[in-house]
Amino acid sequence: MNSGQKSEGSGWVALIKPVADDEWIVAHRGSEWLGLAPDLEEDLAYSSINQDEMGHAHFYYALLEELGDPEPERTVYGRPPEQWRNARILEASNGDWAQTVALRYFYEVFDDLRLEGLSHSLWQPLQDGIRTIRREESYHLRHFATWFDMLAVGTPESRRRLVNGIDALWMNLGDLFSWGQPDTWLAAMGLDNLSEPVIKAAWERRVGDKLEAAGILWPGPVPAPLADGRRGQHTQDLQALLNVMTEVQRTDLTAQW
Amino acid sequence: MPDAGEYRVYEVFFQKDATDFHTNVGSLRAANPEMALQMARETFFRRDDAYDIWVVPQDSIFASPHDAAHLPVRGMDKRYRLPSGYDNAPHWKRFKAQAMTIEEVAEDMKTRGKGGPS
Repeated sequence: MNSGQKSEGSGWVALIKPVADDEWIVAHRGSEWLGLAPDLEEDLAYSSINQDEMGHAHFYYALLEELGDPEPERTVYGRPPEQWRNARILEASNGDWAQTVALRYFYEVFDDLRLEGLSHSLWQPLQDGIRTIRREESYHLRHFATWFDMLAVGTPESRRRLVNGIDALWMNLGDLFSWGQPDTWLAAMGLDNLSEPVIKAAWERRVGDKLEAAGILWPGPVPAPLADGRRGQHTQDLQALLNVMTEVQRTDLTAQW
Repeated sequence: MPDAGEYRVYEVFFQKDATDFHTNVGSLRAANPEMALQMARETFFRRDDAYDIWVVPQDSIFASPHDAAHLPVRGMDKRYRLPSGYDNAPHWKRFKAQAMTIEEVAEDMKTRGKGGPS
């Protein structure tokens, strides 16, 4: 990077870290479904999708290393909960399959909008990576949109579970759209299309259309978050997740894996 | 059709590139064709490229019974149907060697024809 970009380094870190942490945490919770998905085919598909997300996270962590962060392994295994910047809804322990489908559909729509915004960033390595990532993400989005539609019209039970899942998630989606700080820095980077109100409005439009098409009652605007994962304010679920994730690594901190 | 609530079985075909025929690679269960297509991608093509993928409901395939009466097996001597009496290879060889046009090849065959088979 040239010196002009270097001075914006902290801006890039603030931009990329929440994206990296979202992808990693959503993939970890997703990986917990391995062997438990509703059918063999979905078991393969869902684990493959979560491996994709871990690949994306690794790409972002490598960029963060270039910006002065520790190497990806230390960033993933060595941080206490308050240093993670993922949205709180993604660290929550898994609900049933219908709730998982609802969460992933909501997240993939959000991620699609965020990637669209990030694709206008003026840092070439980020732009190049995003172009490749979007090819995989557009398929992830289609996959969960298909599941969402299927559960919405499948059986009375699948529909009831989907609606219950949406209700359980809705009040806790707020910090997904947050950047953990006032939006002014985004405008300075020419990325005000990523600001909280812009993304949130676009997300509510798209999800609103989906719910309407499925005949599911619009739960109302997503309420502002009570606590913000983007500021390191996390639930007990994140500590539990990190305990499991680092369990093997902690048996011998000096081992070369 | 299977009972309501039961997945259908889809046969998966793929084309490696645009000039290949679609080849059957296996089957899977899915709730609808769109899902079958997505599952095919993950089940059979996680590491390979594909030019095109088809999923076909297995119960849409009208298949022959496995007995001699329904399957083509070589019985009578049918060598008389084979075009083995015509040897065009020398003509093509000359055509390629001389970079003749197709009209010149035809003219060449006419003139040689007069003197008997060459």
